This record gives sequence, C-alpha cells and structure tokens, in this order.
Amino acid sequence: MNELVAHGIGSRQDLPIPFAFAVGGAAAALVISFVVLAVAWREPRFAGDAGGRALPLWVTGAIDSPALRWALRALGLLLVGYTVMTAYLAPDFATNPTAGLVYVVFWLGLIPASLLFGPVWTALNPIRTVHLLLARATGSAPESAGLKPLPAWLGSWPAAAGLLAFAWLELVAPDRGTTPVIRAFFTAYLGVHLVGAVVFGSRWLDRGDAFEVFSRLLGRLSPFGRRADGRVVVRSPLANLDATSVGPGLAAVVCVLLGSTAYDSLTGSPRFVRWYQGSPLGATAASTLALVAAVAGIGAAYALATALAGRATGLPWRAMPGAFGHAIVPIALGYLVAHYLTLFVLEGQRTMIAISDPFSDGSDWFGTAGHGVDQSIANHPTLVSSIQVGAIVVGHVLGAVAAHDRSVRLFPRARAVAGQLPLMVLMVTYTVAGLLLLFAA
Amino acid sequence: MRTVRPRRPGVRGPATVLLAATTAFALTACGDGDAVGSGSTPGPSLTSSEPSPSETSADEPSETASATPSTTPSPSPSETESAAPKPAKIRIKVVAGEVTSPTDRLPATIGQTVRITVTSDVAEELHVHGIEELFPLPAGERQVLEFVVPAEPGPGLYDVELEASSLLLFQLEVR
Repeated sequence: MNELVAHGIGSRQDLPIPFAFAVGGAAAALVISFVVLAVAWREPRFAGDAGGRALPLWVTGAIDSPALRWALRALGLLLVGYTVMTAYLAPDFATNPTAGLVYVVFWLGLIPASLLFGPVWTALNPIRTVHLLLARATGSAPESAGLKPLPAWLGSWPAAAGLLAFAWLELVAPDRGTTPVIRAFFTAYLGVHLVGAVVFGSRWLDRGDAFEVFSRLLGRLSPFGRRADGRVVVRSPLANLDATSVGPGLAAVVCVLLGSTAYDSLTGSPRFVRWYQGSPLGATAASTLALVAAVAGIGAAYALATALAGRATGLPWRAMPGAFGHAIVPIALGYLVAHYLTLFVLEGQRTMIAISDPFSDGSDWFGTAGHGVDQSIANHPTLVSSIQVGAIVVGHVLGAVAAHDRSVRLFPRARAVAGQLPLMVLMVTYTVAGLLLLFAA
Repeated sequence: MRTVRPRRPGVRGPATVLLAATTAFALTACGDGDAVGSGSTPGPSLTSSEPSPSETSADEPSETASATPSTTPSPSPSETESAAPKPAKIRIKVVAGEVTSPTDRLPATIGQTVRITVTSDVAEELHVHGIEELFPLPAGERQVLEFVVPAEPGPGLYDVELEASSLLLFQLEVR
C-alpha cells in the first residue's frame, strides 16, 4: 500500500453528545407528541396544491424561461464534467477532490440547495440533459415520451434502490474514497438511467433518478412551490410538504434515507466496527448486511405503525404508508443535519481548496489553493451538540405536525386519536433512536 | 348538514408545539450543571490503561523514607501543577487480526502527549486519522509511539487503525 494516506472524508467524527442533551431531546420529543395529540387542531390546516401566495407572473416566466433552463443545464454539465475530469485524469492522491466533490459538495450540498430553491437537481441533472440532446438529435420522439409507457407501480422504487446503492457506496464499499470505485459506480449509474430514460422517456428520471427524488423530496420543505396551474408560489414549508404527491415507493425512499443515516451513525461506534471487522463473513459482507438490516428495520417499523393506524381507523392499511411518507421527510432531514453538519463545513472547505489544484502540480485554478480550513466549528463541541439535538427535535416537531394534519384529513373524527397513536410512537422511537446514536455511537 | 364547530380559542398549531418542545428541552438539558463540553458519558472506563499514573506522589513518600537520592528528579507538588499534562497512555496487542485493547476510546486534550505501546504480529503501519500520524510497526516487536495532539483538526473522535488491514485499534477522543 502506498504511504499516501487515505482520503480525508470521515477521518474525523463529532464527539458524542452529553447525556443531559440526549435526555432533554427525548423529553422534548415526548412532550411535543402529547401536545400535538391532545390539543392541536382538529380540522386540516394545509391546503395542498391550491394554497400559497402567488409570486408575480414574471417570476414564473423567468424560472421557466429557456435561457435559465439551458444555463442551469450547462452548469450541471460543467460541474459534473469537472468531477469526471478529476476522477479520470487526476492522480488519486489524498488531494484529489473527487471524493469530496461527490460525497460532500454534491450529496450534502443538495440539502441546503433544495431547501432553499426546491428541486434543483431536476434542473441540473446532466443525465436529463444528455437524454434531451439525444432526443432532439434523433428527433424521433419528444423527450417526455419513450419506447414504452412507464408502469404506474414502479413509482419511486428505482430511486429507493438507487439511494440504497449510493448509501452502500458511501458507507460500506471498500476503498470508497478512491477514484476507481467512484468511477465504476457512476458509470453503472449513468448506464442504468440513460437506458431507463430511453425506454420510458424522461418521466423515468422524475421518479427513478435517486438524486432527483432526493432533491425533490427535500425541496418539499422549501418555501417555494407550484400551484396546480404551474404558477410559482410562496408557501409555508409545512404546507408545501403536505402537497407532496403520494406515489408507490415514497415510503421506501424515506426509509432508505433514514436507515442509511442511522447506519452511518452506527459506524462511528468502535464496538460496531470491531464486530464487522471480526465477522466470519468478512467486513464488507457483514457491514452490507447491517446496512440492509438498518433500512429494513426502519421500514418494518414504519409499515407496522401505518398498518396499525389503518386498522384503528378502518382505512385500508395498504394505502397508509404512502399517505404518511411525507411526514418522515423532516425527521430524515433532522438526522442528516445532525450527522453531517460538521462534515459539510470542514470537508466542504477542504474540497473547495483541493479543486484549485486537482493534479497536485502546484497550480491554483480558482485562487483557493493557498487557503486553510477554518475549523472553528470543531472547537465548539457543545455548540455542535446543541445544533445536533436541535435538528433532531425540530425534525420531530415538523414530522409530528405534518402527520397530525394528514391524520385529521384522512381519519374519521371519532377515531383520529386512536389512529395517530401508532404514528406518534413510531416518531418518538425514531427520534430517541437518533439521539441514542448521537450519544452512544 | 354538519354544524360548524366554533374554533377553540388560543393559538394552536406549529408555534405552540415548537414552544413546548423548546421549554421541555431547556428545562431538562440546562438543569444539569456541566454543560461545557464535559458531559460525562457513562460507559466503558475511559481512563488510560495504566492505573492512576502519578509518578510524583509515588516518589514523595520514598523521598522522605529513604535518604538515597533518586535518579529521577522528584518535583514538588507546586511544580507538578505547572508542568505539562501527563501523557495519555494505552497498550495494545494485535494477534492474527484480533485486537486486544483496554478501551475503545482514549481521551486526550490538545497539547497532551499520546503514548501508544503496540505489538503487532505482522508488519504494519499505525495510522492516526485526522491528525495524520503514520508509524511503521515491525512484526512481533513492541513499539512505543508518541505524538502530541495538535490544535488542528481540533476536538473530535479520530480512528487509530492499522493501515493495510484497516483494523480499528481504538478511537482518540480529543476535547
């Protein structure tokens, strides 16, 4: 093995949160759930697609204008093109920015970008651009049609599978910081989705591309949305969340997000690491099993809680998981913020420095090569712990509120409380589990 | 036709819920005195592997008991307090891929010396992540490795592992 040390992503982890914070957070989660259940509103508050204050017409026009659309597509091609360059042409040293660009700037950067602006990856996705260009070149069919109609049952299941595969790459794959591994993954990813887009049209990417779905779901918590007539509106994020379209696979996607983040937290525990390193199955197989088990566990709990809710209220239990999937999105967001905030701040800076000298030849393309990383966030562990617990608790609040509103919309009034109980227990369990992982792992 | 129920007075809604949550959190979390990053984490003993290593206190009784000058200088109590913090020590053995370590996490502070006594049955390298220290380990020989915890990258948890096999030895908990 060369003496060049492994890539920096994940070389530092946050300190465990103090015990008092974990207890405080759990107490807050319990109190919220009681408050919501007992005294919160009885009529649905959120108006879904119809609500929100419309912005001036020129705003919608500007956002949908071909000029902006093509500028964003070009930007997407540029960003991904730069990463392809560093992945294929730059030497695989610790200073190669590829891993940082993929795991931190792209994956984690999509979170604030989508929270602010909505589903940004839909506008930037180079796979979509390539497919569009191919369709225009052949001229045979408009971009939204394909060779076959997209089956309705497929929904977001391909996205859930894609997110699980990406989680595997990020958390389990041996040598995941190295460029050969990253190249292999994304070549396969591009292949699958280009074929999907050619066969089913660009609608395949709407629900099938993992990163588009990720960006789209997080975008449900942004203040911007669209009314049914296409006009851009400003809405409360909770109202926007309530307007999330329900479809097959939505629940699977949120469970994968939650489960993979929980698994990532778990890998910080030395006891867990020793377990899979000592496993007779081998480290990779054991940790893969653990990742799948984490996602399956989250999913099973979710399915059980929603099925019980359906039972308690006399509604068909099959429809329940989809109806409440949107309420888990804020909880998943809380987990993501708690776990990745310092990584984003620290490794993000390091990546911004590395992009100026991808070939490690002393150049300074963007002027950042000489900068140092500002690590002040690491010097305040109590502040970091507070933000982590705060993110999880706020995620719980938003999730509880979203679930409550959906419950009063769907459930008959007499059974509304009984129907909400399983969901509340589920959310408290997720929150307590998240806090426990921050404390003990 | 259903009668319209009059809305209950008072503020319901997300604001109330958030207020309740914040209050509950503040009451439980801030009630505890030690909020300044020193939240004690009950769990496996986090002390270093050797029992309370106070060389000075062991020296003092012997100094008064016998008149023979000791080879190591025995500083008086006031001198000890102003001296550098004692090193954080840990002793590890690695045999056939199995790690024997007294603790999963070794606490240390910035500026403190960390002393790792390690024996590995195969030739390896010991890598301290984040702090980026790399020490060669010849096969079968006991090595005493020392380094000082730098100010960068700061407080956090850092994996200490064998480089080639990625075997985790322990985590350094820097505060």
